[in-house]
Amino acid sequence: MMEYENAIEISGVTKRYDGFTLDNISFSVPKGSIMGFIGQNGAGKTTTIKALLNIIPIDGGSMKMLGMDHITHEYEIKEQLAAVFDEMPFHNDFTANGLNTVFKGLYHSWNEEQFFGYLDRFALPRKKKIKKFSKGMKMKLQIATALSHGAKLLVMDEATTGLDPVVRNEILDIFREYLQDDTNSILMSSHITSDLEKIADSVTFIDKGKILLSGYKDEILENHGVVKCTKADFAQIAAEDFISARLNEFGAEVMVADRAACKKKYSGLLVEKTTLEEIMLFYVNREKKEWS
Amino acid sequence: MKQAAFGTRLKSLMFREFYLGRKDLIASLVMSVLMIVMAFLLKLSFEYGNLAKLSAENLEIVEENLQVYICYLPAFAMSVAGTMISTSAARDEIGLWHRFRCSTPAAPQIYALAKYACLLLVILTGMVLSIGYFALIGWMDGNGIQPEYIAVMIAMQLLFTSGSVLMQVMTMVFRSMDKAGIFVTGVGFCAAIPFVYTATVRAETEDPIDFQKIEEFCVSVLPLTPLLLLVVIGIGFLVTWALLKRREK
Repeated sequence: MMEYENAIEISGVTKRYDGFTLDNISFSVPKGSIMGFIGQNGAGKTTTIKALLNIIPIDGGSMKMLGMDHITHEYEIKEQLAAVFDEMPFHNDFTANGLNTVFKGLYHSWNEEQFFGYLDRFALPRKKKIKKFSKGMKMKLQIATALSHGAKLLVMDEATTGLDPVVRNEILDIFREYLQDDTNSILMSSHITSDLEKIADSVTFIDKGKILLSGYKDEILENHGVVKCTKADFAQIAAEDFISARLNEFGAEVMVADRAACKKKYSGLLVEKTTLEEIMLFYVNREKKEWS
Repeated sequence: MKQAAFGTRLKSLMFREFYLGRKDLIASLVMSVLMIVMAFLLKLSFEYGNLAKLSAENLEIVEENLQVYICYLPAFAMSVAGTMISTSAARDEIGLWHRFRCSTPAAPQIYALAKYACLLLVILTGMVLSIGYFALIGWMDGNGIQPEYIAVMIAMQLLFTSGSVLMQVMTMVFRSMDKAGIFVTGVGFCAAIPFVYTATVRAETEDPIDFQKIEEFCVSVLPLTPLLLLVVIGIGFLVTWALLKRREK
């Protein structure tokens, strides 16, 4: 097996559509880590994932997974890759037993015992048709199939969207277990930032086809902060020192990218810790600069 | 990284095809059994029941039509099983199957091969069962298997397989079984019009098209029809492969 440092390497990738362009995006997912890929609806998350899976061709750049080019070693990669989507991709008529029969032959490393183990753990019936499963059950079934063929890389596209907090928490626990093997990696696209705050090692934020931020989650959260101040105080803050500001009748909330520098420069202002959700919100409105 | 053996992969994907199209297979089998049962009941009626009470002239007409029914309708029902490939194609177009398929280590050609291997298996099974049925009625009649039975059966298989392949391919092109159905029905009507017109015109003459003429025609083209059947299957496989290779824009 090829040695590699990064499970995913995306370099200068461009994809053009009418009205939208994935514009020269680059980021990497280190081996053994989980990266949260965040952005609002229509930002380019699914387009990026489709390009990775070679569902769509790219117009420029390169993509590597598990140290191999995503086109020239496509099927080698896919033997070790599992994709999980927001909607159930398996036909409703199938049962878990039926899926096992199909995947047993499809993947060299399919582990039937492991698959049935997950089914028992998730309390999923083996003989019931998928159409009778709830949304949470369908997602757990997808995850059970994803984790049962020795995949080294999980690519998840909005997989936890629409699930209740209990099921989401269960799924996150499974991912923590999966990552105990430090050769396993996950790319998880989501706009549920609270999940990513719990589990992600690194985060990449995409907006309108451009990467705005990419780095370790703790560093990003440590560096960014929100200044809550009066409008008079806000007027003192230079435009280049903040990302954007949300104004209301009582004052302003100002997102800064360097909390330490802001505290030093504007010593009278209180700079609070922030969340990924707030970072996303403020970055999305960066062009407006001031919004409400 | 080791990959699953080709044969193993093919078998699992064939299982998937059969699983998705099983209702078509069951419907075809049930129809065939019903046709066979009705054929035998009609035969019994003809020999010993109410049909036997008909006048000699009417008996001759009934016997002619009965023969067609007994010989060919069960084989017709078995030919319908080939629709399973369009059913499985239609179900693949629902939901995110095509995206998931792109994440699996199986190339498009093996998905296409699985589909057409199933179709070939279904056709061959239908033919074997039909020949078995012909042998049975031939034994009961004391006439043995007639070459025109085989010829018409292969011609029916060619017709239905062509329709099934076209339906499956158009389902993938339109990404909708409904639109494919409208298209194939339109093509079927256009293809049938010259035949229906000719049959209608000749019905008024002393040389009408009857089933005997159809049998004679099928026997005359017999060496060609099995080859055409293989060609249709081959073209269907290649076109399906090409359609599975296409990517979203």
